[in-house]
Amino acid sequence: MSNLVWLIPVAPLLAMLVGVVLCFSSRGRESAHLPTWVGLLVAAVVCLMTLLGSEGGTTAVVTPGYTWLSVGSVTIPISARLDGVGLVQLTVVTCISFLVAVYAQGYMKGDPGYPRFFAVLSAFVFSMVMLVISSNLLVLYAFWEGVGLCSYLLIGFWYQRPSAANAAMKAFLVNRLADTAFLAGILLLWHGVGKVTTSTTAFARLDFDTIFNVLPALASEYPNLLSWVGFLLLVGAIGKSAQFPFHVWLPDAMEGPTPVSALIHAATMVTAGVYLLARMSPLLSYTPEVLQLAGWLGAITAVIGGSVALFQDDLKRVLAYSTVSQLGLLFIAFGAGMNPEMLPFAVVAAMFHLLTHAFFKALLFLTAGNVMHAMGDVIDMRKFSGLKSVLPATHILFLIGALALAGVPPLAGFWSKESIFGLLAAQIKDPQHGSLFLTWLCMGLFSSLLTATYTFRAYMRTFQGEVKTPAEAGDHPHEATPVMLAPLYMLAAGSVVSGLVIYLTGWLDKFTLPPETVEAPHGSWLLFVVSMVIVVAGYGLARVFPTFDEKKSPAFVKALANRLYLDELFYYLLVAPTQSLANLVGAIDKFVDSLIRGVAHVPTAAGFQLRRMQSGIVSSYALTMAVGIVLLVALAFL
Amino acid sequence: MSGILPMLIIVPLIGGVILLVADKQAASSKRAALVVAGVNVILSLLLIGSVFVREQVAGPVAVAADGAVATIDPLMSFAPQWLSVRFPNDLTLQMALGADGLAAGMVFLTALVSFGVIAFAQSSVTTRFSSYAGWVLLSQAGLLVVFVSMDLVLFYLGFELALLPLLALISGWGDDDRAAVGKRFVLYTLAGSIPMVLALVGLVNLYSADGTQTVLFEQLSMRASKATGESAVQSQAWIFGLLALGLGIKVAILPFHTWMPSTYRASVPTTTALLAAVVLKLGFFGFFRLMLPLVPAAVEAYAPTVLGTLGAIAIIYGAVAALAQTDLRLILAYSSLSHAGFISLGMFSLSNEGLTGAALQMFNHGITTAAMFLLVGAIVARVGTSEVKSIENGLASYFPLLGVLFMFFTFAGAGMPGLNNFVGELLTLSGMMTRNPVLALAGVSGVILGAWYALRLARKVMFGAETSEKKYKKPHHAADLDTPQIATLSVLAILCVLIGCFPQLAVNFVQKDIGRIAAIYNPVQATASATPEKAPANVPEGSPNPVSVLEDDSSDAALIANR
Repeated sequence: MSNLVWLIPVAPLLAMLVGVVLCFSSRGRESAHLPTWVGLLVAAVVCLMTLLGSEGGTTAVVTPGYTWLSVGSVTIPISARLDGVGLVQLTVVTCISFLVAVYAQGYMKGDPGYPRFFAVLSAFVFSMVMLVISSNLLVLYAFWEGVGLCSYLLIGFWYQRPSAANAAMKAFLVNRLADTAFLAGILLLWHGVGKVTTSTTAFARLDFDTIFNVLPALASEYPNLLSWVGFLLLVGAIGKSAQFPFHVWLPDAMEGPTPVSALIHAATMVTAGVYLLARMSPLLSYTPEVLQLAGWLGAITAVIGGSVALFQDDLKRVLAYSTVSQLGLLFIAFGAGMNPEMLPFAVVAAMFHLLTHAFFKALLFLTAGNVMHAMGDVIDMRKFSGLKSVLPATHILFLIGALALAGVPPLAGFWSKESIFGLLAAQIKDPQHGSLFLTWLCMGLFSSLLTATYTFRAYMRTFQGEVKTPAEAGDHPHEATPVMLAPLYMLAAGSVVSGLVIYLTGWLDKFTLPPETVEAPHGSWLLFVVSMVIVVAGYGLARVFPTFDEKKSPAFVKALANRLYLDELFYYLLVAPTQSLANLVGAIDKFVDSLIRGVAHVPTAAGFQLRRMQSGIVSSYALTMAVGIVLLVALAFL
Repeated sequence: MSGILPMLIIVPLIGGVILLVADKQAASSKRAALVVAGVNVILSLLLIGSVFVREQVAGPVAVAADGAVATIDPLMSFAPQWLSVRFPNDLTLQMALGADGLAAGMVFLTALVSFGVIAFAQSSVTTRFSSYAGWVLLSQAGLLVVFVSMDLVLFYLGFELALLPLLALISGWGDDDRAAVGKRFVLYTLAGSIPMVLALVGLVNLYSADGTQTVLFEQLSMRASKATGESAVQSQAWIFGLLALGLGIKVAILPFHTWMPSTYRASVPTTTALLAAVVLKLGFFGFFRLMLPLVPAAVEAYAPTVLGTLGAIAIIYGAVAALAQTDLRLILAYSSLSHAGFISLGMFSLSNEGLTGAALQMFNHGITTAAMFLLVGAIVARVGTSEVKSIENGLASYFPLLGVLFMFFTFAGAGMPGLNNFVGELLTLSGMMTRNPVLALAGVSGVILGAWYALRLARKVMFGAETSEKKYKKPHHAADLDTPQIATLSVLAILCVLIGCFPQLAVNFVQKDIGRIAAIYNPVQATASATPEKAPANVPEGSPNPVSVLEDDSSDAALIANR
């Protein structure tokens, strides 16, 4: 198995290289999807084979690659490290990406940037795969940045559109802001590992295995440093995983082509932050305060995301805020792992929801893409309705995704949410943090209610009611082509069965839990009932939920419709002050310069001789200088 | 191979003189200039090759386990060649040419950038192209003298003489205020030259204790290595100060940096490419050659605090100032200031990692910034302005190749992993981390600030609506890049990827020479073979399962750690 590991990143890498060549070639542009299809299919098949052939267990297998850099105490090898969590994540990434790539062939057909799209798509998957399998935290960071770059290129794919170019820049910079903290954390950790080891030999201080081995020493000698590292890594994670207050980039990211939204929201980018926390969970087990912060941020994000989603008119924007909200649940799961013995279960629960969410969110985005395709690129729910009869297949597929997202049993979303809530519920009697877990549980359940409401509402506004299509759609809007439907059936199948199968068989546990652990805490029957009541209540709310007129709506509705003004807050707290500082620095620089220019006038005042020289060719200065120098150097020897 | 070094200097010297006297309108002068510059690129490649071979044969610096230097390789990786000047009073002044990895890298950079400058000037410098190219080649000759000199005299001659043709380039071609800007450039240069001369005289005298004087780097550094203790700090302090001032002005160290933005803006962008990519590195190269090996006691005492802090400030100051600029060239100028801060940060950490990072960053910043200024030159030639507001956005729609390359080098400059600058920044930051974590963490802020101004610039200039009504200047200028331009930028881009993905190649190339300097400051760190004590046992590569080297008391934490 380990021989094939390198095939997983290399296949998309080769696809990318072929794609780049096709970008500059005049022939073969319309078949540019083929290398990407092949590359991603190979990667996905290898992942699936490895996963199915795996005995389970949590031991990591390291397959060496090459030494990227080795100078003094900096040693960075690029090696593949595969363990249960990584394998599950890899399989999700490659399979969903492959399905999205198949869909994109239909969606992107005829676009002038067709080869560019597929080249960057392959690069995106390559970065994500390397991020997951790297054995070294710094290499993870490198591909983390790579994922950021690819998202920039994909979100800004239609770079002629100012809105897309702005969204791409915003996504990259918000992420980079968080990454700055991440890099600082890595440097601190590198420094810390060096402090607790006396070795002068070159060794990879940032290899995960090295880090995990020195953790006890680090925790006893430099607990503050470890807390800072944990905090800084968390900041990195909430940037990429779009948690409050860094979530502002994600809703704008739908300026890219719809397959990109599916990819970013479901399989790749946003899951990177969750994966980072899962990967670094041994470290985080020493810093419960960081996990507590993660829990709070997740809870806040889940509620904010759900509330804002309720008031959006743009179908893709509803889904985008839904992603923000669902990722909040994943972070709540990490909060539930505050007690070190619960952390492994928290990781399992988070990975579980990540997996099911990847299926149904990809499905929802791609069906929204079908709607958009049929409606002539209109995605505003005020402009269409009753599409049930117009797009019958898309309707069914969207409905399956919506039911899974809303948490209707026995579809996937129900089970994975249940495992997160179950973990919280099992701990509400905890003497120390019980009330905390109860608070998060309530916030999580409330966000579930919001989720059910906005999901059913979006479904009803789009597919139910009288048939209405916008003028852009033309006379006969038609169903998507088979190539755009086939991958959706696969995603729909995953959305239906994956949750139940994994929940009942405990299949994920064997990859993510140490072998001899106690039974994972499951939710009680009471929680099941509460969840179902919530879904029904959400459906009821969605039916009666009014449509607000922008002008006449109360202040809080306006605030929610305007995304709670968080973009503006970001601007006034961060961007505007920095710009003012920049202007100040610019002014200071001019002032220093003018002082120097004042000095430049001194020779003029010094007398006729100097003035004559100055009025001459400037280079006479330099000649004088050179002659003087030769004289001076010679003097040193005489 | 022994003729490479003199040839490297003579070829551009003669070529430059011929172009200067040649007919200013001749079309053939364009081709001739390219050929001369191309020959020098080939020569510099030969130099790289021979240094590389020598590195492979000689191996790394050998240092015994107790930190004592067991064997010392000859100072230069490339055999020095000697010139002798006999003075009337029987004093023989020996001068030497030689090249180590650092020098060979800088020579290659200089040759490559000069070629690019000429390739791009063909379309953007429309007046007196022949003399322009002549001055470029002459300054190239002067710059190469600095890089391959092995003694104080030649170093300094090259250092000052390279500035003459540069001055002609600055005050001859560019914006209307170029004469005033050129004057300021000269004043700064003079202000830097005087302390430099004094420092050099001081160096020769300081190390003449046994009655013989020398100007050779090799002998000077041998003598310097014997001077230790408080008295050495005191005797070296004033030389250190003078060198820091003299060289610091050349690298635009704060607050002596204001010549830089004004010069970079007033010159034509191709001149600026040469200034930013190569001339800015003269000072850093001087730090490597003159300051670090020759006044080590004073450097150890003062440099990390003073110059390291200035470097960290420069990273932030330059990046923040870049955010306030509205001219393409000024944005890039301040970005150079910021990037140069990383070089200072790494160099004055005095650690092996930091010094290697600084050496790498000198080269890396050279290629990315040269490419950016050349591209700005191409933009100015097409739209007639470098004022961001006056450039209609959406240039990428008109000039797709230009757009792709612009974005590529923007991301290289912003420190994208997989490209060159990331390696240098990482090494400089981790080097400073061991010396002074606060400065290193301050430097990390460059990661976001650097991306901020760069991407905002790209957004404003490259992306956005296609403004089809806008007529770009003359028809032949409206074309995308031409072949020599594409060739130059492709080579630069390939170098970016190569260094970014396989940085060990570049590291090995300079490691021997950098390791020697690092060993002055960290005798233990250079040790290659001490045994690990409570090391976390990084299991050798190739072993299938390196996990499970855990203690028996497998707590929960250890169990988790095992995952």
